[in-house]
Amino acid sequence: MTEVVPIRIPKEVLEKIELLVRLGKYANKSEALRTIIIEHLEERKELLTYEELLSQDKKISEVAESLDEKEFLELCKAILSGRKTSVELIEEQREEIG
Amino acid sequence: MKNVYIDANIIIAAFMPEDIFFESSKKIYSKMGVDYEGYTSPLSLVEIAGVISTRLSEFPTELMPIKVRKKLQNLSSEEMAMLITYYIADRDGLNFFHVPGDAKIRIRARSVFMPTILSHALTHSLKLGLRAFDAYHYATAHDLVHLYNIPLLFLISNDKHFLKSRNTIGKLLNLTVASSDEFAQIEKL
Repeated sequence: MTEVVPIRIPKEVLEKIELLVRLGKYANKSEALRTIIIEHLEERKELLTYEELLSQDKKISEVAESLDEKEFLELCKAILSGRKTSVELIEEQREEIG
Repeated sequence: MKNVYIDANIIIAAFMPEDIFFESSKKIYSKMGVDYEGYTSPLSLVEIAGVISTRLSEFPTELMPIKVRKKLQNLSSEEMAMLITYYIADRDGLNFFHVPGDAKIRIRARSVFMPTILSHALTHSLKLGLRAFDAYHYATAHDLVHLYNIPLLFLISNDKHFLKSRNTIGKLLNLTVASSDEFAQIEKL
């Protein structure tokens, strides 16, 4: 499925697109712009990742707001309790590289 | 307000009631933004995230308090790790100090680009023989003092490598390197 999107682009960019069409790189201007946009989104995947991160952040914020201080502390206590000390837990992270 | 550099092991200990450094670390952490302006490296965030995500991967969720488990049920383990990490690190008076910009170093004919702080860590690592992550923390404290003129009174860490080099680090940064217990004792917390 496709949709028509009217866009304004600088004249010099349009001239380059028209040149590419004349050179036979693309069938027409629409195909050129479509391909360039698709390729750009493919190359700049981090743009979408960033959006995903933002939505993830919103989801996390909502859960964070539903937890009170006591529940957070209980959660930390449950997850961090064990045989290892705080020093050992951080040391493990540093030993990976350090 | 006194400026202090806080290591990641102090931050995490403040949330571990069974830990030997819990009492002193909790006291220190609760005084951030009250009596002390705390500084640490953003690397501490990575270290805390590393601890939390490792622990979560080993942790049976059935052991979580039921009420909390219900609230977290729609989160992936990655999101859960992010939630807990941000909660632990979110404290008024705790500053994640970043030295902006990139640096270029020359390795013979080759240029190597890296974050500025990493180039400083590299220098300190070569000079003081510090391990990678220790050098990064040291470089952050060093830049606070010597580049940004933010004098630090203490570097608080329970890391044996920092405590072992306390005299050298203390002299170079003009501060006292102390464990959380020592700091709490000195400051009468």
